[in-house]
Amino acid sequence: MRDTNSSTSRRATLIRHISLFVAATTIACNTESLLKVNDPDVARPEALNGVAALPTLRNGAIGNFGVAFDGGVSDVAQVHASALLTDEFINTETFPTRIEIDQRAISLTNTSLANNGTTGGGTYFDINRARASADQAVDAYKQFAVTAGDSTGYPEVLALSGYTYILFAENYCGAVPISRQEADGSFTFGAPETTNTLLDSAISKFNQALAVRSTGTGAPLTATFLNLASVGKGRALLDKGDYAGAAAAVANVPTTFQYNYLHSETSTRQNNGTWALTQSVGRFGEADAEAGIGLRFASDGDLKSATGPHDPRVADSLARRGSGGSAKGFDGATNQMVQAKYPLRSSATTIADGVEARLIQAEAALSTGDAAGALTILNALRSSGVRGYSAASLPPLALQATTAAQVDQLFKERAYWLYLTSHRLGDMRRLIKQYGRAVNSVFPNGAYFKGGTYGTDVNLPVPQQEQNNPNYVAGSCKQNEA
Amino acid sequence: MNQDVRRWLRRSLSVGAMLTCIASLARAQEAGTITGRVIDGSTNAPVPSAQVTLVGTTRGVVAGDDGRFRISGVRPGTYQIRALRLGYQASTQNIEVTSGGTADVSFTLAPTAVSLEEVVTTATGERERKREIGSAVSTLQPATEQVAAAQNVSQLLAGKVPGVDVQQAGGTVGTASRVRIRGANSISLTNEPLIVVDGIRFNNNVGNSGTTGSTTIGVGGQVPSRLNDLNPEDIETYEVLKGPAAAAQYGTAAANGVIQITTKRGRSGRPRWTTFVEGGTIRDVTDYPANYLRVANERNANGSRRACTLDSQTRGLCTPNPDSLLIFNPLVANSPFIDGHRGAYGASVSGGTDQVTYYLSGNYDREQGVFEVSQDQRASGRANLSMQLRDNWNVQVGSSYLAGHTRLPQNDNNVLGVVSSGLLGNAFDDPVAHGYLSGQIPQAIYAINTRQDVNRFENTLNTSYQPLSWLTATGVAGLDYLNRYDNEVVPPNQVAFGSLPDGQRTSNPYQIYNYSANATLSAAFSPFSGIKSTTKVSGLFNKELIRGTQAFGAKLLAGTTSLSGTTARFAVSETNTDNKTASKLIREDLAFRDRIFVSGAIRNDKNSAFGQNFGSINYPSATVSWVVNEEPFFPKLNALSSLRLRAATGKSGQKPNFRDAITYYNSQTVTVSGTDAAGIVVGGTGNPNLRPERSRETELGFDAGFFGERIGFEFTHYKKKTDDLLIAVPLPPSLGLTTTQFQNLGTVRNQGNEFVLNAKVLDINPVAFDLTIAGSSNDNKLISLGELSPGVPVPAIIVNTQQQHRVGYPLGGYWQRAITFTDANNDGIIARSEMTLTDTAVYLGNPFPKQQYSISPTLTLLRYFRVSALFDHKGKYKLFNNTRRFRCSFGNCQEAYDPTRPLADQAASIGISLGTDAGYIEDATFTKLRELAFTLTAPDSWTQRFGGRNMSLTVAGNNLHTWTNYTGFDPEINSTPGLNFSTSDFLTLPPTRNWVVRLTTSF
Repeated sequence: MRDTNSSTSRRATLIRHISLFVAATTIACNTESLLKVNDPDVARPEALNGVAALPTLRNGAIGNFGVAFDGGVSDVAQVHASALLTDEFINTETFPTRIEIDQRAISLTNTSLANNGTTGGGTYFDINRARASADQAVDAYKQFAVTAGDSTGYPEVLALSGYTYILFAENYCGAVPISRQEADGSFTFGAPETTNTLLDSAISKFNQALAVRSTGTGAPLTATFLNLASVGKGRALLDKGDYAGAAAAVANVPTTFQYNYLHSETSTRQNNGTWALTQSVGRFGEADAEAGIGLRFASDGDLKSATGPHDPRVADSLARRGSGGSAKGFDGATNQMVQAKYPLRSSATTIADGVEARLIQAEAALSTGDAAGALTILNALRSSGVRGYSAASLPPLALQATTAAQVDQLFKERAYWLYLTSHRLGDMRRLIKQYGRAVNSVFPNGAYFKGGTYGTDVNLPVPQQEQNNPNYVAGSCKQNEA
Repeated sequence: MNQDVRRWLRRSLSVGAMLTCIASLARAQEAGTITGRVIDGSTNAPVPSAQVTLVGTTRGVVAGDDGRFRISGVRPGTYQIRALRLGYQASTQNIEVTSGGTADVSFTLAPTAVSLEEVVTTATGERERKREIGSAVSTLQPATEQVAAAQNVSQLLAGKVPGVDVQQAGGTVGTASRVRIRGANSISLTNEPLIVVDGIRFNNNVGNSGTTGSTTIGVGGQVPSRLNDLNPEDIETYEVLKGPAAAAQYGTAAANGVIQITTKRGRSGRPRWTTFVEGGTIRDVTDYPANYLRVANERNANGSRRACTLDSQTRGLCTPNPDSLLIFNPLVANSPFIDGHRGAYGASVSGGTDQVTYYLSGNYDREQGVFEVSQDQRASGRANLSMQLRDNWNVQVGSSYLAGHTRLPQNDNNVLGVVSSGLLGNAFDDPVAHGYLSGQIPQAIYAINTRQDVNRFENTLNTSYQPLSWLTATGVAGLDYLNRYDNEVVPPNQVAFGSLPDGQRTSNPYQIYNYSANATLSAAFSPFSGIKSTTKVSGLFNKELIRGTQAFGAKLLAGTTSLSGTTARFAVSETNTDNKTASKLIREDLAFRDRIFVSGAIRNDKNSAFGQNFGSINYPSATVSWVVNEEPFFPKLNALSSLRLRAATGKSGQKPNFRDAITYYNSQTVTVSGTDAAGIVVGGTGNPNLRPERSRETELGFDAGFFGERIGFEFTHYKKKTDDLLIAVPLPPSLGLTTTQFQNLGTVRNQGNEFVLNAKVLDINPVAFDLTIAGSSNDNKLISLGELSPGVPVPAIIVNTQQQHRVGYPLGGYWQRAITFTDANNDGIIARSEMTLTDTAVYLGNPFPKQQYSISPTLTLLRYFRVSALFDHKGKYKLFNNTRRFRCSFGNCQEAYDPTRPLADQAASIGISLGTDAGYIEDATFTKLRELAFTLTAPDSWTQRFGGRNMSLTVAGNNLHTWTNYTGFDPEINSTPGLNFSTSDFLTLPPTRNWVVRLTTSF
């Protein structure tokens, strides 16, 4: 070692400076402010407390419902899952998770239904988020709304919550839990609920919406929201087999009423998902008597049909994708008849309308044996010019001789009027439950056109992710029970 | 610059000013000078680049090419002076420096296969010898031919460091490899190692994410590499700290190991120029299979014929049309491949005085990949300056700049991908698409211009000040600034898919700042004879700031290529993340007679991403190193010439990602009453109790030298356990929140052994033969996933359809229903009735190699000709051959129609329809001739005629041959290198075969 030979004063000065250095370092390491960070990109929960946040919460509920119903461009939503599992769509692509749905052999790990992704979560995830978002908005209205102006949208979010319960009941397996996050951040996990329980919850939501005017909250129950809740209540009662109650619920809904989810080009999340999955990227085609069982959506709606006028309610045409004018879907092998109901990424989707109200009334009439009355309603609808369809394109229907044929006629009308609005799966299940039809007379079965055979599913399962719910009972979901 | 940064800068400047004041007090003395030379004991040739240091001081120089060195301005006194160089035994001598005098000293270094005297850098910037460290630290100082053969940093590390697994992924130029050190520790957070360059943290993000990825624009799977932003020409050494036992002092960043990179420094003397020029080829050498199709006699309702596979035939669903077997290979008939090439040029100069040395370099390289639109070019420069401001104060500053431009082709999991579109295309030619699935030839898709432009500045300041003989202050500060511009343009009416005919533009500029600052006081004294104590106290601060903007527009005006030309579907968003770590570190080192070294440290970290209910975390560590052969009692054996025993244990962690701990909402646009309005969608379900993951590692090992250090052998056993795993626990969807919530649950264990054998097998002029054999094993197991609630374990986590995290098995293991089959009727065709599937998914194997071995022989003839090679073996792992699986699911593979194909192939194909991919999860064990290089060095007499010092010509190849039973294109393929565990061979461009010729000249 070298000889330092330092003077005392120099050493003292050094020690003072080094002490300062140590002190500065210590201060630097102890300063909490050093660890403060800014996060300008997101909203924290506290930003949503208060009356000023109510419009934002309402908008969130609408947007989340739209994505769950048919929106976005990422994966299937309720409309598409229902269409695939039934006879509305065939799969014209390669993604195995969606082929499973079309083939009626859905695994619990199907990532289109639920996945752990950060951007999307799957069909089941999205509908749950729509319900939670609507319920969050409902709670906020209850807590913060004071004036009538504050309460704009309150009955709307109640109704949207009700519709999520309907979709659970119509599309899922009759063992759907409803869970929620409490205000303190804790979780309350739900147990599986039956289809009837879910429908009762839906009816309760609609009743709350319909009662808004009389509860004195000051919320404006506009005609739109009144009709929205009325059609929803009628639909739920119809699902329960209460035809008379259903008809009564929708009696005052005008045929011209429509409540639409407004798609937009503004963001991909707002795009019409049905447009994206069909016209844009060729995932699904309109089915044509799928497996010899289903309705002839594609033939009847063929815009280029040489045999006669097409049915405008299920309009479609053979795909011409790619520079070569390929008529094939995404898989390059399957002819794709592309739906034309939603021709644009901004095409609106109807959640509830007066047409459905009339169809409910027709079914109620038929349930009492009044086939002529039911037919009158159906034909009035066809000639009404609603949705801009000409009477010529929808000529009157003839009275069918048998009850079975009358039911078939009614359900075909429902299928065509309500095409690609997530009604068909519920209707096909009702044909089994309420009308005693055999599964194989309703759902496509036998050899599957992409290889293999159809499975036995008649509903969408509660996916495996739900098994993280300690109150969920594994195995309670019966995929082959209507 | 925000307030925190300004505050930090003020403090740093204050500290610097104080140090300057202290320095100014140092009384000038009449100094002496030390000169000398370092030579090779076996050849008497000079040893260039040897490090010569005065022990216990901040003084040191690097010897020149002639082995000579000079240290001036040395205060009079007695010193120990040490010379060391990788590959030689260190030598230490005592020397007396007199006032105004010059002391001369010569070192004769003996070549060695043992490396105890190498120095490595600590987390706080000091240097210490390996013999003082109880953990295994691998040092790599690549030779010129290794740099030429590897061509980038990732490949330089491949197969050369035991315990480091570099997974090459694909053959697209400019793209990343997956790097794992001693296995994967984390389920949810990155498993990539921390990269530290000259003491500061270096962004090493990999993947497809705005906050943690290396790009924001996906092209199907491959992603750009940040690690390869480093220019290998500028790197002096790579030091690999493999786990918490070695890297505990890096705290909440080091659970995955640390790669410390030291860039080249100047040497005193007149300017020494080194230039190189390199050119080579990049070739795709894969034999791609043809597409097959046989149709049925029967017709569909619309008159078309369906495919008639063997499976359909055996099930009576169709009868094959006898003349209908179609075979066509779009990738051959209309090949998209071109011969790629590489060109690189560089120059560096170093020199200086005893007081100031410099290293300056500039490089340019350009790679043209095997697709026309696959390109990577980089221009970089570096300036390193070392200053001995006083005899007790040195400062090193460094600055580098990189300008990179990468163009990425569409590939992998991408309908527009080149390989994918061909392999999934038609079994017949057609006039438009020529068999390609996308409905157009690849050259049409080349209109998609996906690019990443990078400007990267790295600035470092290292200083060491020794005001008193027993007291040293060191400081490190720096900034790694990355300006990344991800952008894509799709011209209108050129690419026919989805909305692409509209044309569109994506423009995502990102600025990523990594700040590092450390300050350490180190006090050394000897409380007793033969015992040296060193106490260190440090304060450390790191900050990573990301500022990104994503902008998109569609319906592009023809002739324009920017957002200004777009007219619809505008989308814009920002990404702003900020993460800070503030730490304190105290460390005590005890050295007993320079033979036994005991060290203990504890680091305390606070991080801005920890949950609000969590405070700070302590990371303790301890190491013991005993150079036992230097003990008097140890017998002097020629066979066992040296032996060191070592043990280390330590803990380090990994912070949660930004926002993992908080609940928040993202905005969404909603159209209400015809007007766009703001809505919310839940973005994160926070957890205020979130803690960092904690990895504790213990390792035991020894380093031994045999036969006069001609053979060196290092062995290490490690066991690493990671607790408090940040698991993105899948939330029940019925909550209606996010898909997952981070919770600290579960435990992962990694354990294994590592060894390195270095042997100077032959060293008799004119022949020398060196051999390095390295190997490692890794046994990865998920011990626990924790419990959702008491008695309710977290269920297996689904990675993808084929991979899961299941307790008791390796992370990311392959799970499928297993297939057994027998050709019961001996017809040569497997029918469904002849197959049996297990009822549930069974474990089929792990996705990462459990064993790795490499052999690196080097043969030198006449000192002028050298041949080196690298054989790399990875074993005991599986790879999902999704390329073959997908082709069969498309009905494109031969085994779907051809009864002469192996029964196992037929069964695998049918298995797809039965819901299992088990037949495509294959053993991927392989051995590669990864590198081969021939180097011819010109004799000095030749080069001196041209005024030069050295000249060498290297011919080097990479990825030259593979021995494997894997049936895919290459067992290293991974279509998702940016993801943590998802591993599959899925329509990826395989690694290419590359050859280069490189001429290096110094003068």
